[in-house]
Amino acid sequence: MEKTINQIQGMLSAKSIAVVGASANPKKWGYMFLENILKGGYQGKLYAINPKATEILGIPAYPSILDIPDKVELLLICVPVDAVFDILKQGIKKKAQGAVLITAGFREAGRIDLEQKLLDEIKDNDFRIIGPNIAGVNFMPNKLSANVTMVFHRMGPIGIISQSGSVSAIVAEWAEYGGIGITSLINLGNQVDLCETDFLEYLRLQDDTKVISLYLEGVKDKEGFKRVLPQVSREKPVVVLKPGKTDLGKMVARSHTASMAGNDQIFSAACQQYGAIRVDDLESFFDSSKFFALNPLPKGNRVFAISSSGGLAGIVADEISANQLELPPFSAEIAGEFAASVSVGGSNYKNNPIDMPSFTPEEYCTILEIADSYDLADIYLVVLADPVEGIENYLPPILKRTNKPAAVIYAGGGEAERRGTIAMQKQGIPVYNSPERAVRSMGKAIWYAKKRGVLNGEHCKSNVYNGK
Amino acid sequence: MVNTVNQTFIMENDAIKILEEYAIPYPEYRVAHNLMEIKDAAKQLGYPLVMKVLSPQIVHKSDYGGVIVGINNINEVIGAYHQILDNVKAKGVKEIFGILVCKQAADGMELIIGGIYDEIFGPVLMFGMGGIFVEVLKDTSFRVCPIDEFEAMEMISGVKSFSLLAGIRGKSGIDLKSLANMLVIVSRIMIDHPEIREIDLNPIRGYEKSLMCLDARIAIVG
Repeated sequence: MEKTINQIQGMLSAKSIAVVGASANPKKWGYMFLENILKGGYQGKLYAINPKATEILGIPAYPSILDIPDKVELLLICVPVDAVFDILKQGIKKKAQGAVLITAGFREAGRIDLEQKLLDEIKDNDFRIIGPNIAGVNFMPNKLSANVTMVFHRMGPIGIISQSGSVSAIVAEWAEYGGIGITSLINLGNQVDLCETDFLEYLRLQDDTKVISLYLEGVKDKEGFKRVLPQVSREKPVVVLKPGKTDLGKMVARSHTASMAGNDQIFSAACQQYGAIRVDDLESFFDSSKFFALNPLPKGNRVFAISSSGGLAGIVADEISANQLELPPFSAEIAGEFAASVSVGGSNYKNNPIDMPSFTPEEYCTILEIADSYDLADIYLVVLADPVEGIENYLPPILKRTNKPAAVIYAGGGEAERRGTIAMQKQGIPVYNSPERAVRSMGKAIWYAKKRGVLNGEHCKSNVYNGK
Repeated sequence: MVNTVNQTFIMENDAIKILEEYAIPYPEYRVAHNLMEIKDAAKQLGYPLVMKVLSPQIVHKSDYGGVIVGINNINEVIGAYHQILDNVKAKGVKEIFGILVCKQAADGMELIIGGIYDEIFGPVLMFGMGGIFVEVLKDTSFRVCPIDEFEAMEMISGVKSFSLLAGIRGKSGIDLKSLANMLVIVSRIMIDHPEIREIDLNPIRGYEKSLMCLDARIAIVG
């Protein structure tokens, strides 16, 4: 809904924020929020609402929002439950656009009545609420780290929508330290007002967001979710992590269908139907998100791989066939060209993956350039099982020039690996520390690329028609 | 797990009426309320026959000994009638509405088409091959309703036992186009009738050129 999207944009881009329940005590959340917003480099006007102070952390403090002599666009509320309602009244009077309502003690504490009271307070007032019961929100285009957990500095293509504050913080931290970055982190909380569907619609249009990482335990807006998920999936990958409840309780006098159908199976089927990429665990959640964040979509499932280790090449080959990908062979002439272009002892240039125990970054690039000139594959994979110093200075530009998705598997490389991983990811190449993590992410990307084509009407025939 | 226990299974004769509305093939049948009507029905339908008990207290008729197949003459009809009544009464059933007398269908591949109301996605369609494939191997596909023919074909080819449906090793498969069409229709039933919480068409017999629904359980809310 366009109005809602504009309201979300207004809140996240707010140029003036009041932290209500601000505290001078470093142990309190009311202090930590102020501190984190400052550390995050927020450039807008910041106000602390505290009845006793005149300033906290150098920020002007006022006893109430209404005492602030200027505009306040967004409230960040961390006062006790009972005090929330008056704050909302004041915020509405002050014509703020909405509140990030951190306070807990609502539906999750059994007080659904208080959430109705929240809705009554904001009704017809052009004032929206994110939360309650959240850790905060981050929005990098506005340098906003209104989050009690961590401050993030790196802006990147991932948009996180999460019912769990800690899950979102973990993924965001992996992105931050991995050199990838996020655009936004929305901790949904109880979703009394703005819900997962609203944020999906918002991120669909948010230009910096290339992939949406969605962590859910349930669905708030069921009708909206069904309608919006396929709409978003047509344009951007939505990676979904939802813990399954596999309690298939026994019920007498139910049909076979009912006893077969677990909620969780249906959720998976629906994700598949709508083009959302459901993953099974936290690592895959991040691994897939980062593959989509940094890569164009694959146009086919052929992989060309170079490995510095024969052993790892074998494991990679297994994973590739398990994930419906292919390692196409190439001609003896091309193999000859590979062999002639570099001279790495103990190499085998005849098979895919190429086995080349090289410590010289340029050699990997040479092979890749030849392979790309023959259009041998749709996806490139470089497997490093040893430290290859400086690989990050040579490999990423070559891979990016191919305009094809790529990944690096880097393991056993010690310090060089740690440095190289972050440096390569900063340049847009996802790096994984195991074959399965890399190849599974490729498999998901292939599935999504095909599904997106179907959703957009590009393919009209199913396997059955094609005489499978 | 679907928690809605607030639902009632309608009797099979009423479920069949819904199938008829949507042109889902079911064997020729009569609803008989006493032995005389049963005998008349047998004369009209011919043999072999299946007889099934109709009772608001029974959902799974086989569990009550309420289904007898392979009835080949009028004596067996009478025997089956008494047997069914004895069986269900022994299990404590008091309300017997009547007996469904149907022509027995030829052997074929067994399939299941089901519908369920999911708390998040609403009406959901299920498909699988019958017997051990669904019950033991859990080889099923699901889709949120409504679906179109393309999605139906995806559902069919999405089960692991698909090659059996398509026909392998000289054995002909079943009529996939009719199957896809039936899936689309059942998804339509779920959408048109939001009061329906479960549909269980099990088994559906699949033949080379047609399909036949042999048993139908439908539960409505309330």
